Amino acid sequence: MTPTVRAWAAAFAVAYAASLATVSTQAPPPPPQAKSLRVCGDPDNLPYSNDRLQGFENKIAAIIAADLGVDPSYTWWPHQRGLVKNTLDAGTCDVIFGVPHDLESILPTKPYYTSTYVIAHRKGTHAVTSLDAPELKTLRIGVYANTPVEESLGRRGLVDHLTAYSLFFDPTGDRDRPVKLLDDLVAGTVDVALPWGPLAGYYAKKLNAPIEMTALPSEEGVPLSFSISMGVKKGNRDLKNQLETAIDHRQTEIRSVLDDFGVPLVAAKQAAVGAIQVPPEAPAPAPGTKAGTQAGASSDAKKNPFTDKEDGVAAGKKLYIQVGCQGCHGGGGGGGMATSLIDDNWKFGSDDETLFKLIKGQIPEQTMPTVYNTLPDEQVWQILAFIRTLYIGDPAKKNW
Amino acid sequence: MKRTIGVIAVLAVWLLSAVSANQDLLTLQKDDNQWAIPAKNYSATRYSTLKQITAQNVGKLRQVWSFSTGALRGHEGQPLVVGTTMYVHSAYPNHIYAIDMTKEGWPIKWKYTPVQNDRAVAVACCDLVHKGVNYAQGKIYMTTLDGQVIALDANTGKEVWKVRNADPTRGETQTMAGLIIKDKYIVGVSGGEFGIRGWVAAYNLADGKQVWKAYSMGPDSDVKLAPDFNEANPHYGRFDQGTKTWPGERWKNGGGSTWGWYAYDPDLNLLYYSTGNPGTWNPSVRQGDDKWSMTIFARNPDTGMAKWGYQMTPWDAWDYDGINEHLLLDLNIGGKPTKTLAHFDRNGFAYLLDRTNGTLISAEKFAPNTNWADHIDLKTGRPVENPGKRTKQGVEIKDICPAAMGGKNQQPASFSPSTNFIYAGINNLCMNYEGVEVQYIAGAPYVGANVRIFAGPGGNQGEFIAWNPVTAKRVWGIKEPFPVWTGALTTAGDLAFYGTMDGWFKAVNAHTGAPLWKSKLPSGSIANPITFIGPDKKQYIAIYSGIGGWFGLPIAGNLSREDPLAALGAVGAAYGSGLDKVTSVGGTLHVYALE
Repeated sequence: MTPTVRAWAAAFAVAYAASLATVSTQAPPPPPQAKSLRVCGDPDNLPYSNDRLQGFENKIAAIIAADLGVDPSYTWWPHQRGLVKNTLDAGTCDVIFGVPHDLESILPTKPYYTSTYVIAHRKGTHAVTSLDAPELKTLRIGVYANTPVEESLGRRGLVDHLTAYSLFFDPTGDRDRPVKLLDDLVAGTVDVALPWGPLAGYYAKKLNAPIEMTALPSEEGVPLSFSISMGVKKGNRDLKNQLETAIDHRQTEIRSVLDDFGVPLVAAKQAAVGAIQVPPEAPAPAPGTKAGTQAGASSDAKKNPFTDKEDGVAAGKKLYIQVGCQGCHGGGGGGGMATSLIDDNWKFGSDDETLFKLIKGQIPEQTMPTVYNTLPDEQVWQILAFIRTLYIGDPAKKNW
Repeated sequence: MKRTIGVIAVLAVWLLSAVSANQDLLTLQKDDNQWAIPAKNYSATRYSTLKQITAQNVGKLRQVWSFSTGALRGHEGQPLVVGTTMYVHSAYPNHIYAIDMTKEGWPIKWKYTPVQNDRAVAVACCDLVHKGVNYAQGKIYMTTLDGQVIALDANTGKEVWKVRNADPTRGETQTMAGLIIKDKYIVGVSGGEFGIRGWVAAYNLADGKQVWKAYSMGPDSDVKLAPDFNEANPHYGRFDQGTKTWPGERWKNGGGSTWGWYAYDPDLNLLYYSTGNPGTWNPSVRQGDDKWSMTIFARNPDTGMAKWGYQMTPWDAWDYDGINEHLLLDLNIGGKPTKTLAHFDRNGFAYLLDRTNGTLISAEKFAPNTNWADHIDLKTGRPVENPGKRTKQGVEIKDICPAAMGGKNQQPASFSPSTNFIYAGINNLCMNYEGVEVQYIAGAPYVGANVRIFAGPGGNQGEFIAWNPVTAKRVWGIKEPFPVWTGALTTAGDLAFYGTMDGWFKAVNAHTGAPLWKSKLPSGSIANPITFIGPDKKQYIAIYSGIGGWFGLPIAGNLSREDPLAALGAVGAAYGSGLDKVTSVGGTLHVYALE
């Protein structure tokens, strides 16, 4: 299973606070090789990763490492609870592939793909493509415990019909493995399964299992699609920036690996309802497009082209009200729900680039909603140009 | 056959547990030694029969204990007292403490702080307040700012379950206390400034499973209207109104949040609450009644189905967010014993309705300068508006009273059966209001108005009043320099208690309003006083201090004073009143007893 699913369950669902201690008998990590991309990999978790490098995250890691001009080296640790503490935080490796973008214990890169929960059935039987299909009431439904689809079923009064499978397994034990849900679907033990899409896609495409699937749309309060990032240790901005540049360079190849493994991709836009949205320049380029850095991804210091330009300020003033800035920051910028924009207190800095990133939702520690990540760059700059006109702080502190 | 038996067995277990949870709370709330539900009782009267402390001896009331909650934002709500334990809550991050009152110094039995998503902080409209916790059958039930509903073991503070009711990434937050009815915990949602579609939902006490969810607007199946909905008053509107009274699909971002106080009539088996302002404060884009925003609802708490609904402010153009509390009073109206519901709305009118079916009995201005409407037509139920005060996009309409903060805000009133008066802290605030165009972006603010707020005629910004609900007339009023945002407490000792934003906690003669006692608090209060008997058999009075809420946000959030529109108009109002010269942030529980 992917830590997406696991971490989601851990971070959000009915976490009973109890510690599901991770048990592992993995050998101590090998000493890090110099000049390598040190990956914290799961040794036994196909389709994502294994120690024979057969998973799609292994393939993507190789692509990213190549872009950085190094080889990947692996520290193996199951992607379960305790992962971050025992790998990134312990310093045994530097990057985890396939983490949910909003996992709080790591610093995420921008997402490199967005997938979704799906509804899957065996070919030729129970062709159910929606949670609202009436026949679901008569079918056996398999889900992973504590995943959001459980809530979707609960809302429809379908909880009596479900068989819950565990996402967590003890690698030393002989208990059922998480892939059992798909095995059971193929075997007919359950009629319908609601797994995280990449797992079902892997069965359908790579294993040629006779299953068909349909993406499930997110619903109010229940996000079912999630954006996936690489995670580095908090504070390791250098590596994060390098990885993001590599993601930009290698979008086409990453996409091709995902396609090969049958990972169902959805537009980040559809990941509404609580999921982190992908910045528009991030993944899923049309095949053949040249990947490259656009505005917003570059780390070059940026300057606002509209500062002190009458037209830009006027447009920004209008936008400031229209897109809702005024609601939190005050009709005249004095704050309210959010901080004041007129004084010289700036939480993350007052330069153009910092404020641009803040509006774009690119500062991990920000509490401001990240919903403006789709606002065109030009509009962001215009809004900033207007905000600059509100400033009544110390003129000596102006750095724009 | 087997299945039927199974269903019956499940039902029987369910009924049993329902009865016992209900009995527990019904018994507890009748015991005035304790304060076991937020509003003291299901009728929400905040009245206690305790009378060790009386109008004669209240002069000897002294603070005997105090406790810092560890949070410095606005402290709304009240602690609970169950047995010999007091349950204390705080503003965000919503610390909960169990205080052992049997031991010297009242030590901490346990402390619990929920793990929260701090992004909720940026989308809480009006300070990071919380209105308190609930108790039933050995568990504490609470909401968190970031949308969780949590059950704790009352003895240990350990989590029993937690579920998600609201999603802060969509602007949904929680500040309400909610209410326990039978085997369910009923909660609502805040976020009327984010284009949410409000709801109330019921969660099983046992396992946190959602049993029903009723939206404030949308198709009737979402709003959960019973087949006999508004049968007694069809002119209030019956079916399909939750979509047809909105242009297009604007009901989808229709607001109608439910962050106020809930009441319950066990005999009628009806839950009472009301819904808030419609989404975007700019009325020009949502012409129509915008039902069922601004509506008092009566629902069956078992199923969520609504028996009646009365909309107070159709096509709101002032943010008269209708969520204020309901007092369930059995009164003699025109010689007839009548089950009534009294509600002091933000719009300046005090409504009295027949709570069995929603029929209006009276609706009179309690906020004296109310000028947006001339009166409420009791036949149609609709306000007769002053057209000059209706707001719209692109024009600043001036001197509207009351202001968006209301003739009265959420601070709950009290009813004393010894005087038969209602006691309420009210505002004297007016405003200029201009609707502005705003787009809906999920999770982004959807306010759409610029508001300037200032003192109404007379100069005083607040008042504490006694109101006769039968005659619908004010009995007396005590002018206060600042809006009165504490709840009221009345006791059989002929006393009424309230607090002020400049940090006074006061007791007055409930019959005459004569001031009898006051005590200075370290920060302004916007909380609700309670009373109880301690393990030493003495009567205590308790109240939180901690300035904040919408009006106090400029102080609580340390906002600069230059932009009068900031904090949805609160910066102009608070700094204009000089609030920053008389109080500062705090978060303390104060307990008083006779010396």
